[in-house]
Order: sequence, then structure tokens, then C-alpha cells
Amino acid sequence: MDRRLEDGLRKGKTDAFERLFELYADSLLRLGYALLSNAAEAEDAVQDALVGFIEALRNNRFRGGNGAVSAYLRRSVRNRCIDRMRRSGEMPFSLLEDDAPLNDSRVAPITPSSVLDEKRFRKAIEIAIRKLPDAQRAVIVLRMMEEYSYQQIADELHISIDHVKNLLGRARQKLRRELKPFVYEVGRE
Amino acid sequence: MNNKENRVNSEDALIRSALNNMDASANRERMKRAFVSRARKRFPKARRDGEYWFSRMAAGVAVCYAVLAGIYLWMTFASSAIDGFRGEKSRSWRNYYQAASGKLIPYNQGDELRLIDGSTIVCLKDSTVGVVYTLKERLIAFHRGAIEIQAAHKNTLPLIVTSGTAEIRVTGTRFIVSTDEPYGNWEEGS
Repeated sequence: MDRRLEDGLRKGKTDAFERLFELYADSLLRLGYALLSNAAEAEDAVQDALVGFIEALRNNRFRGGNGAVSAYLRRSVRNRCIDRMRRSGEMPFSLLEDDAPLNDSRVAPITPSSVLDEKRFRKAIEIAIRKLPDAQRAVIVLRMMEEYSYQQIADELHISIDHVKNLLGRARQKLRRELKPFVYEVGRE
Repeated sequence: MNNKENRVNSEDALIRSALNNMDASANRERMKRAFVSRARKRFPKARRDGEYWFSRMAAGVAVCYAVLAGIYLWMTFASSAIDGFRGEKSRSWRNYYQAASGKLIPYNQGDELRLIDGSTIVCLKDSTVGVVYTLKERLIAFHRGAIEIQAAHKNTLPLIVTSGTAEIRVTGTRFIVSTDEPYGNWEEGS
């Protein structure tokens, strides 16, 4: 973060607040929307994270360079979103939440070459992810957006690695089923 | 199996790109306004340290000056030999201050000066006079004109009238006139 922005935030300048939002809000909002099915809650989480960051900066609790700001904000949004999920009752994740059998080999993975319309497909993925149960969505978002390892996801959500793998598998299968209409029929495994 | 893993990876790439290109602009402007107004309320604009420093310093200096000026004026008027004027001409604050601090200032014919011990000086002509009372003596500096000094009986301190050139007559009480002690460095006030 450049010095001017930091000074502005410390002094409470309006244009500094606007600039902070411009710089980081988009990626944070994406993360929030992906993690929480409720858009308003995701926006709240992002706003809380930004305000919390300014607070930390002003209290000298934040020390770090350019990359650290983004990492700090993302971690903050992530924690807030997972907290909200937990409070809303889906957590701790139950293994029993989805009874569909895993490793259903009838549903093949989707590949880029098999997609009919990429733009519509993207939108469909977004919607399909939003429809997933909280636990599955959290796991798939942490895995895909934050590039977490299984171990990191397990630590973050306080569940076992096996549970993470299980949830990820279920999430994939659900997505495949949801996205079937956008895919060519290609050869079965 | 390897084939299946490859497919899963390319599937992940699709999901990843969908997530990272998600459209987040729907409520963006409204959210931005909400955030900025919340941040402004939460973190009100701080005045620069320099401004605080300067205004405090200025206020401190002003108070010091006011106190010193007050003490100085109070001491000047408290130690003034002149109790009051009586005369035609209205006098400025500058005249009062100069008279109080013992400077020579011009009076008109007929003006009367009352001194703090009850003595009086009456100007028989337009005169220029300055009066200073110390702990040891009463000094009347006379520059020009003619004055009649009525010295108070109860005050035993010597009354000394000093002048460069003028002829002085004082009637009434015991007094000492000394023209040997020049007060020539006293300059006439306005």
C-alpha cells in the first residue's frame, strides 16, 4: 500500500476510503459472494473487513507491505463469512447432510472442450455454486479461489481431511449434475 | 485414471475461472457509498498535528502577552503620582499613561493636577509638567510655563522641583527647589 493511501486512511480522508474500496472491494466481494449464498451478508462481511482493516492500521496492529493488505483483507473476509455460516447453523458440518452416494461414475467430469457456451456456462457455475449447501460451497471456494490445501481447509473449518475430501467430491458431483445442460455428451469413462 | 485426473483438473480450471470472473458490480456503487459514509463516521477526520501545535502555541503566547501587559499597566498606574486631572481639554489614554509613568506632558492654563498625597499643581499658564513620586522624594519636573504648587502638609518627603530654564515660584508649604539636578533626558510627550 502506498504511503499516500496509508496516510489518508490514518487521517480519515474521504478519498482514501474511496480508493481503498476501489482497490480491494471487487476481489473481496467475489470471495464473499462465493462463500455466502446471501449477497447482503457477503456485502456486510466485506464492509466489516474493510473497516476492520482501517481500524487495525490506525491502531498500528497492521504492519506489512503491498501484498499483505490483500492477504489481510481476504483472510478477514473469509473468517467473517465462515463465522456467519457457523452462526447460521450449518456448522459444524455434518457428514450426513447429503446422502447421495459418492463416486457416482455415471456423472463424468466437465472439460472446457465439452462446454457449449462459455459465458453462460460461467454464470451457470456461479448459480450452481450458490445453490450448494454451505459446507460444500465453503470447501470448493477455499480450494478453488484461495488455492488452499486439504490440510489448510480442514484447519480453517475445524474438520478432518477426509471430511474435506468427501465434501469436495460431493460438491463436484452436484455441480456436474447441475451443469449437465451446458455440456456436450462426450464419451463415458 | 490419469485421464480422469486430467479431466478433473480442467474442470477445476473452469470452476476457478468462473469464480474469479464473477460479476461483483451489482451493488457496488451503493456499497461504496455505504462503506465510505460508515468509515467517515467511524474515523472522523483528524486535524493535523501541526495545526494543534500552532494554535496552542499562539494562544499561549497571546495569554503571556496579555498577562505581562496587564501587570505592566497595573504597576504603572499603581505607582502613578497623579490622582486626577481637572481641565478643559479631554485627554487621550496615551496622555493618562504618560502622566502616570512620569513623562512630561503639556497642560493648558487653568488645568489642575491632584496628586496622591493631596498636593495640587495649578497651571498659571500653558505648562509642561511631569510628576514622579518615589519612596524617598517627590519630584516635579517642570519644563515650561508657570505652575503653582500647593504641597500637602502631612507628607514629609522632600518636594523637589527641577527645571532647566524656567523661573519657578511655589507658594504654601516648605519645599526645596533644586535646579542643579538636571532631568534633561526627560523628553516632552505628545
